[in-house]
Amino acid sequence: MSTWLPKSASSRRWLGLAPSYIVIGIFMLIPMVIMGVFSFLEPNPYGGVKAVGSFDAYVKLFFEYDLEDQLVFNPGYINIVWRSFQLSIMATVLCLVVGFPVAYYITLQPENKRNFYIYLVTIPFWTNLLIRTFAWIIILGRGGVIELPLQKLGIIDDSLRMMYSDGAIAVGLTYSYLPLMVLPIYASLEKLDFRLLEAASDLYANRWVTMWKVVIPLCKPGVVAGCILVFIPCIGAFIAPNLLGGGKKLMLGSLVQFQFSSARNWPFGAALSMLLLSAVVVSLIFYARAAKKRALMEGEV
Amino acid sequence: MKKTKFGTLGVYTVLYLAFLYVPVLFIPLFSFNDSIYIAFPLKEFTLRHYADMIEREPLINALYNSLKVGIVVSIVSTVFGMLAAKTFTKYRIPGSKSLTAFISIPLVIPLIILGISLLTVLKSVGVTLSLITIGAAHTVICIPFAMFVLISRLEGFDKSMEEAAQDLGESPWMTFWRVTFPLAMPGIIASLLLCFTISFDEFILAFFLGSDEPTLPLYMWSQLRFPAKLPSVLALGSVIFITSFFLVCFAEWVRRRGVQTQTGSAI
Repeated sequence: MSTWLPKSASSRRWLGLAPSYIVIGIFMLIPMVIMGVFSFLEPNPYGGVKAVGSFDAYVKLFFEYDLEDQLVFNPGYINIVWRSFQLSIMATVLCLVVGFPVAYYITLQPENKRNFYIYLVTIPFWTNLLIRTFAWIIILGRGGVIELPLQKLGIIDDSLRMMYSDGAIAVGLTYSYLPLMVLPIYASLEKLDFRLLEAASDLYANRWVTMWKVVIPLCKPGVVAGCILVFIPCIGAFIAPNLLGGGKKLMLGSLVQFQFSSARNWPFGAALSMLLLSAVVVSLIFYARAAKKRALMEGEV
Repeated sequence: MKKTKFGTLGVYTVLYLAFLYVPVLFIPLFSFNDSIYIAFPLKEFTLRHYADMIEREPLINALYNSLKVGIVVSIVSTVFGMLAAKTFTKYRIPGSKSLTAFISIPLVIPLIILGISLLTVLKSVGVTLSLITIGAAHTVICIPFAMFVLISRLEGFDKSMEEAAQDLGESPWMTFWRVTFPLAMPGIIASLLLCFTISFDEFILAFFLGSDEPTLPLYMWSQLRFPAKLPSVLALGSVIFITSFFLVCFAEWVRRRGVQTQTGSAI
């Protein structure tokens, strides 16, 4: 054994964690902290930052200077932020509505079949996001899979203009992240005691009431986890807004990227990233609270 | 207790799977279509887009770059993930929940934030972007996957085997090499394949941290703008799709088989 290694076993056990912690620390945490610092500095016109503290980046989120150098409210950026949230929430709700019945169906299967279904659900997730998103151009595009039959049948004569719209982005996002909703819901449904459902039906609850009053409350942590796992990549999405939104419908992710490339306003880009990050943190807090509640509930039972 | 009926829910699930699979199947469909326009009606069957793809040198270079990054990333993340997984399963560490939570942070940070913050720092420090910077970022996101796959494998087997080896006078290193390592093998292979697939398919981090040496997804992104080149991008996409599909299936198969042998040997 090398002499520089800690002698006692209790300190040596930490060594196994060191490489992972160092990599994640250096390549993720420190850069994110520095980004936080940058958001309070002034931009350098050629990219980069000047070491002068200012809140300009955050002011710019809401206001702009007019011709007389007066601060006036500028809804432009807030609109983009708002749209990102709307689209992400829309995609999350779509995932939940589309994914929940599937997760439920899988739990109803005999145990040996369940893994197979889970497998079927996850496979597309492991292929290139770029390709999966591009497939939707073929479907939604001009003369695409949806439009062409309708045109041939004479139901429509012009293009439906489905591409480059908010709807297209929402569908693309939903499609990209669906498995992330199904898996956690399945995981919590799997632990569900199905005798409770029988009890409910013995007590004359119909299927909808049972679903609403028994199943959904009990698998809430899974639902919350699924929503968060979908919401986080959606709010920072870059590929779907670019390919399906045509770059015209900006989302937060593209706006951040723009500040660091063409606009050369690093502090503003950093401030936007901090906004994005706070959305992530807030949703994680929600999750932690739901998980804690569940733990408490189980503790009481 | 539970009855499986193929009612409305079953029909719905089939529709769901169709929704999941049909869109991606358009990619191979059009890659065999003898036309440069990605639209119906289909023309004749052709393999020329595939021939086109193979002849293109930048594409082959991009493939080579992706392989390099993917292989290094999968090995490094699996080794690091193994060390962490071993620590968590072998010792009772106070606060191990928050310690694992730290390693899973990369799973919940939007990639765009990770990419951009790393980019600004590297630029400020004066590091030139290369495949290495892409690899570093990929390692960050692969470590949690590697660790969780390996923890699930290591948690399963008996500590008494390792103890027996040590009682019989093996050194800790030889115990690891001759007992732990073979037992963890299915987990290790699964982790390697998983990390490789993640790195191989990853676009956003590569987009920000890449240089003039593109990885495969970057190359595809740059080709999407040229309609004439689109069909061969689809051909490439199909090949990647099929390859990823088999890699993931294989990883899962190895992991499963591992679980079976494990329960088998326990009896």
